[in-house]
Amino acid sequence: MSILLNVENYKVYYRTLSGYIRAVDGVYLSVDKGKIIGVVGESGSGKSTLALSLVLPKPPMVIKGGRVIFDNSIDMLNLNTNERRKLLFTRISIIPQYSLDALPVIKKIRKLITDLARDKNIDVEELLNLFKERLKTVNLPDRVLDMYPIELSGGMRQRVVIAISTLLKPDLLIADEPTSALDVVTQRQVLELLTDLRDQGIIRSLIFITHDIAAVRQIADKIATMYAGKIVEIGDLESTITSPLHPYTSLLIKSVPSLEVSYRTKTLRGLGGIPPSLLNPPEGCRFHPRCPYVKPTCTREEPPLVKVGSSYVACWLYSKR
Amino acid sequence: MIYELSEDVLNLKNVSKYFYVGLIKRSTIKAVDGVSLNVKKGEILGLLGESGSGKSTIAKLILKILKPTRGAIYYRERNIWEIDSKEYYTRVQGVFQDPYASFNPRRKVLDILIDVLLNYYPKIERSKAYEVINNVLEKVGISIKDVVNKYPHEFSGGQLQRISIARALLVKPEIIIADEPVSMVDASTRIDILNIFIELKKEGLTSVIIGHDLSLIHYVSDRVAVMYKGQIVEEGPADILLDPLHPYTKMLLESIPRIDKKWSTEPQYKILPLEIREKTYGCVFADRCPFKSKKCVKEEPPLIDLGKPRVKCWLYQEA
Amino acid sequence: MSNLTKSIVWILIKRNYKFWTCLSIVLFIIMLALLGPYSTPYKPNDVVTPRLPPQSSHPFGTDNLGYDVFSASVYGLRVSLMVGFVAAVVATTVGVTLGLIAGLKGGIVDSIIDSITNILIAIPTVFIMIIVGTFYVTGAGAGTARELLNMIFIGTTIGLLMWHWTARAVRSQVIALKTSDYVAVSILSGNSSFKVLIKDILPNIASYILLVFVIQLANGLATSVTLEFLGIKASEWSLFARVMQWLQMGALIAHVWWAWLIPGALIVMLIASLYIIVLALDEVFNPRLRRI
Repeated sequence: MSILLNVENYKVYYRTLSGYIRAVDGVYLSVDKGKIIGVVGESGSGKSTLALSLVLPKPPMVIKGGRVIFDNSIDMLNLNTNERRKLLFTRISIIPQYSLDALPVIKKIRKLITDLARDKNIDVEELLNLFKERLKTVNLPDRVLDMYPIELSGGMRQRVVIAISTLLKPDLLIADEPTSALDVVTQRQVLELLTDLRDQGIIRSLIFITHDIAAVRQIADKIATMYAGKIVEIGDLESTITSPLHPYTSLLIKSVPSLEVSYRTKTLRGLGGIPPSLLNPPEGCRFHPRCPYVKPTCTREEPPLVKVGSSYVACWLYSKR
Repeated sequence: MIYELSEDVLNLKNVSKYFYVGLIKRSTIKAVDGVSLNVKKGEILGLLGESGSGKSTIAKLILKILKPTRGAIYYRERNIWEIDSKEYYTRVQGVFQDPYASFNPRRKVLDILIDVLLNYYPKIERSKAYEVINNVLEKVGISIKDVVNKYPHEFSGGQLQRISIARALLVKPEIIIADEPVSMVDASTRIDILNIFIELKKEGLTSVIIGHDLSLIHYVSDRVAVMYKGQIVEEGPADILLDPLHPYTKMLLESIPRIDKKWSTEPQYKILPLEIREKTYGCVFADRCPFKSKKCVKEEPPLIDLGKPRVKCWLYQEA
Repeated sequence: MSNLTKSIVWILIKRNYKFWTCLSIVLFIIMLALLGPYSTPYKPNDVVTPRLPPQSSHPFGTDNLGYDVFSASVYGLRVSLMVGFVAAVVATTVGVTLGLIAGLKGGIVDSIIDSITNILIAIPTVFIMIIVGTFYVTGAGAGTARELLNMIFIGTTIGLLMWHWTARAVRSQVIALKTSDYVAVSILSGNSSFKVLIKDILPNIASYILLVFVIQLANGLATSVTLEFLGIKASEWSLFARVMQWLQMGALIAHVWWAWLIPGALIVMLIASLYIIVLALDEVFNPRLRRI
């Protein structure tokens, strides 16, 4: 089977005094081996929760249901802490949001690696050599080892983080907004680097989570759009970008002005309304308050995820009530 | 009848802002370095630059939050530091990047808005104040019902940023300086917020919109200026961004992810591995420029006038 | 998302056992000092049977000279606590005021205040306190006006040597707030500097000042107790002055451990609890420290 990660009806909530925040509410996703899937979502979509919950679930995060099968054999939701610890870093690795600021300021990079080696019971020399190799792939010189994170630029720190998280050649790398804090030129470098890592076999598959649909367009093979805790569309890159099925995907694409357009030639329109509440999501289809094609059914019942051509979409435009 | 060229409302003449860092080994950071810029009445001027380019410092200089180390800023030929601040703020207002940081988290949003009116029209009646606030909120697409009794954190980023703009409009300013007004707002609502400035232009408002997103700045501006390391490297009508002259802008254009096509070839502008910033005595972009010559390293180019566009690059020097 | 924030804060305080335990300890000890004297028939000067271990008539026992340790503790704690409290109030008042001025005004005023704090840090303050204390304070009878005067005097001296810490802390907070966007917006909205101070800056450092006060309270108590050991006591009944006397008169040798251990434990728990309360509150106020 060529599927590396299969996610079905996955639910992750946050427990609060006012109720459950339904950050991930029935997500379906599959990641093929050797492919890059881009998960696009904005604030209140639950995408970061999706990423973190797969790897480091912590209270008040509560996994409320679903199935997550890794490499056709490992049931991710029924692992104990030890088993999960073993997986982390060796087979699944994550680059969390803001990670480039999470590097401990007072430790030299070398110390970070030696600490890691001790933690994972790996020979320190071996890990350091691996790291030096990885530094070459990310286009950083060896002397980075003896520098403090604060001496490095944002782009360099991000590349260090990428080097560390891919040290043990994980099958699956999850990157949550890896380039948002970087300037445009460095962003291109980092994104092309991630593609390189996949091409060279250092990682097998990549889940790239972001709000920037144009960035996803550059490197992904498949694209999934997430809204209010649900995946509303998944499909091949080309077909989704050229003919998006879900109204949200379509509006997202339209709100990125293509270069030739200026307000003097054409006034663009963004998506109106406000981001959805995950505490009290709208009834029926969660997108209906902002959807230009809303019908009565949409306000009452949630549309199922159905296959349309080679894509999947959750929208009453494509299913019969 | 002679058609009058649009007048300048703001003029920056050779403005520099230096910061001195360090107790023992003092080093100078040239946040803004010899910038001359004019803003014409009724236009939307886009200031494009990445972080560290000095664009936010320019905003703070114009808004009298910082004082220039060298040079001067003029509002209609008057030095802004010779104008009483409270009066100045009835002509020039500001909107900042992070809507949540722009409001005191402990105060209700409506109170913050009413304060503005009370400061400038102390005898205003409550009902009239609500009317004025309601009008201004409508202009930015918010209804006053949605604002009553709420604290800043109860709004989405997009809504709060609109309210920020409304706050700036309450005193009926002539110019608004917007520093990255949409970078912290959801991508799908950015266009809507930029459209507000376009609508306001029809009512005569002059805007300076500062940002790092080339496509958005191109969309919303009439004229643009591109900043790099504290200097303006290119300036002209917004369309120069589509076919830039300065190598830096070309590099930006090549690197932005576009929705309509993939990055083409190998990028032309490979950054040195350790991003070494050598002290350059000449052009500020020389250490990264693929076209650099000996002259570029030694001498700083002037802003060369090519008619409408102006470029700070030796490549365009007249023979 | 106000509900979410409120829930998190409430959960943090509710579940924070450290906070409640320590708060109880502090309140208990304060109650002891306030109400203790009414619950014991003995006065600190009454001599009863010596060397009695803790028992129902003498909860803390008696020392080798016959003094009731419980009454010495509850009468004496009052004095020690009062001195520490005065020190904290003085340090916080002076420190907050100067910190605000230095942070807001900047420039020369800031430099002057900075130099003063630098000097204060360099001076060995305990040394000064000893000198001042020795020259001025004389043993006063308990409950007299002289005792009150002494307590205020010692407390103020300690406070005047501690305020620099508060001033620095407050100054950096004020500077951070001063450069924040909403203060800039407040100025753009036409608010006068005074209004900005009252409405925008003070409310947002209020919780910080509270924490700083509690820290100074702990520091002030520690210093007050130290001074008592060295003989600088506001009155005859100052607890640790008495404990010192008892030790000098052979309490250790006489194996009356309750005479010095119990008062010692009380004050250590009080000071430690105050610090832990600050840590716990800091977790609540400072989102970055939360382990959620």
